[in-house]
Amino acid sequence: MNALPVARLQFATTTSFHFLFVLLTLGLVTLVAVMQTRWTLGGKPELLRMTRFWGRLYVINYALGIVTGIVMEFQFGLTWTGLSAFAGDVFGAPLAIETLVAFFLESTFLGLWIFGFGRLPEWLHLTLIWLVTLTAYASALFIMLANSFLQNPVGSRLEGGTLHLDDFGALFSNPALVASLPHVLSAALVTGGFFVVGVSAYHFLKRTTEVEFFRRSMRIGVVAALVGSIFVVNQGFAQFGELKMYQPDKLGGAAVGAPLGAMIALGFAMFLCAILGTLLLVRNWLTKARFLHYLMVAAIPLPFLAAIAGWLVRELGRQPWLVWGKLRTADAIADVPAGQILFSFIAFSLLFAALAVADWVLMARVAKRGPEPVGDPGVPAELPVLSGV
Amino acid sequence: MVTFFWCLLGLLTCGYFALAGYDYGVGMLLPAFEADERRRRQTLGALGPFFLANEVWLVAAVGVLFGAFPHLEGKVFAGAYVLVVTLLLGLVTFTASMQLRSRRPDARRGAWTAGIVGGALVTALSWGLFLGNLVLGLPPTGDVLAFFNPYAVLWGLGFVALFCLQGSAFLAVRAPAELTGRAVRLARAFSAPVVAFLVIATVWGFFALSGVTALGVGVAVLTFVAFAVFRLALAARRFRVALVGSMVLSACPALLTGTLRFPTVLVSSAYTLRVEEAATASGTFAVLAWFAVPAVLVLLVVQWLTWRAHRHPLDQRSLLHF
Repeated sequence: MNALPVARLQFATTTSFHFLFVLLTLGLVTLVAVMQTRWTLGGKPELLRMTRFWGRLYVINYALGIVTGIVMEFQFGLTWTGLSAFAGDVFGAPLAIETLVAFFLESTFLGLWIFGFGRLPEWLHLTLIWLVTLTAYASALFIMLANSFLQNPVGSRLEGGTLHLDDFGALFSNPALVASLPHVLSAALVTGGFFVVGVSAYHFLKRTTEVEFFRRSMRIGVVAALVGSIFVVNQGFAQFGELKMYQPDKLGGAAVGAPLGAMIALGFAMFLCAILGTLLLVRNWLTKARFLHYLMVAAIPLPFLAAIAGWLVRELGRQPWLVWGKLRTADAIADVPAGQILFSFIAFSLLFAALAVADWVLMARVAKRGPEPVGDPGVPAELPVLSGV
Repeated sequence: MVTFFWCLLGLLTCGYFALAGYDYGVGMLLPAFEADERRRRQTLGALGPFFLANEVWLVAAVGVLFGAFPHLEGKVFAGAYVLVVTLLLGLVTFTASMQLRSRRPDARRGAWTAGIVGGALVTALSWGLFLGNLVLGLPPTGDVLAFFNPYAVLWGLGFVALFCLQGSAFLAVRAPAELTGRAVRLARAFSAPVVAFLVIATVWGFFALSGVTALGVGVAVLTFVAFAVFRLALAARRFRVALVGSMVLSACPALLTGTLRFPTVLVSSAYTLRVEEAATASGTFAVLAWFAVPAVLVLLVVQWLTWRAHRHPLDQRSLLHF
């Protein structure tokens, strides 16, 4: 048995799961931070309940983002040892910075935020959610920076068979990063926006009594979805020009065609949905436009599908290179028996699939349940204890 | 710079074991407490404010390992492939179950509870097996079964006892007052297996290994000192001191693997790897230092403040979340 396809499939599966969760994490935390900011600035009490409700969904989603991220990080050392041996002096730096500055701090601040509800001064608590948001964005920056280096190894020189770091600043101005980072960030915003709009639309379909709560949520979600989808389409096409500079043949490959077409089609579908969604902002249509509500519920998965397609385009298009033009994927694989890699691939895939389904079922149930009734600050009925979010 | 980053890696790794060790301990000890939901929430809730921050010390340590010592990372992980995979399976199950268990007030939670207990157990066993093999040299000669040599199995079982000991010391500090007695009894009960592990592993290691550095001997001594502090403080009902003792104790095995043969950082049947050979280039170190030093400082301050704020036992007013 050949270990290479199994190891590649294992990394692709882990990364795909990771991507599905961090995308929503990034988008949703931004909207939660906006809600909490508006409440702290003296907004309606609905905004605090919104912060709690959407924050609760955010926290459930966050859990799987962490665990899939840990497995991804370990896989560089488990199966792709050739990468660290060849390019570790360059590639290792952004990855290490990501874990220290972003991941590590993000989790610490998130813990403080969860346990600071109603305990910390309002401004300090608001600062915490913004710190969580900023560190999440920093995470995206450094990971995209590391990935862009694989796409287009700038700022380094080949010497004695390994890559050496010349100019760390050049990694930031990498053409592979400049257009793709806004593309990914706006994709996250779209994902968060469609999620909030879809869940709110579901509650209108169920003739919720929380009209004010979901009207406000939907307004924030629609704006995020519209702004995000304008940027995501724009930055998507902006990459065609950049690509000519570093991977001119990328989009010609057979493997890339189908996901590229799917991503572009989904991108325009989401743009259309977002424009139709703005019709919901017309005050009286909001609770009545049932056709639009059905559409918005159905649109929740679209950004996730588009993101996976986009990731396939970027990564399949890089093959057969791991570091473009410098290191072949086949030369980077670790000297581990194929049987062991197959075992880990099956085990990780089954575990992630089970956890992902459980996580989504949990989110769906919490989302369907809706916010806690007014006057009940999140106290579960059967226990005399308080819950954070 | 190389030594500085080796120390930073040591700080993060030891920090991980000192902090996350009691997470796994509390997870494994769940069946030792009554099964009613209120008790479960209180036991897990004791971990609450620290849990998210504890687990990511590992992520940071592996990040520094990859960034600062790229030529070591691959050899260590790929060299113990099966053990690292079981470790990750346990870790993922434990972390996800912990975070998702109590999210719905009216839901059934049996499967998540099993995930917490089982995940913590697999994690503890895998860490022991992994570090035990690392002390002997990676990869071991032979097939997959060679990972489960008697010395490594001793470490695996020893780690289960060690984390349980640490978890009970933690519960003595943080659990509600009515659970303190149970926690102290558990801490005493796990003392015998832990001391057996420490003595056998030290004596066995003394004969099995050659060329142990003075630093490594110092760490072995520190291990026994930490255990003595733990026992004395427990007897004096100074639970916070006992917890610190058990945290130092849990960090010692990792500290030992880092100092045992320093500046040689990895041995195997085929080669030895010195710390300079494992390290990244000096230019990369300079870039890393700019980010790593402030980040770790901020982190230590923030986590210290978290500890200050939540150093008392749980009461009726405590947010539980988990």
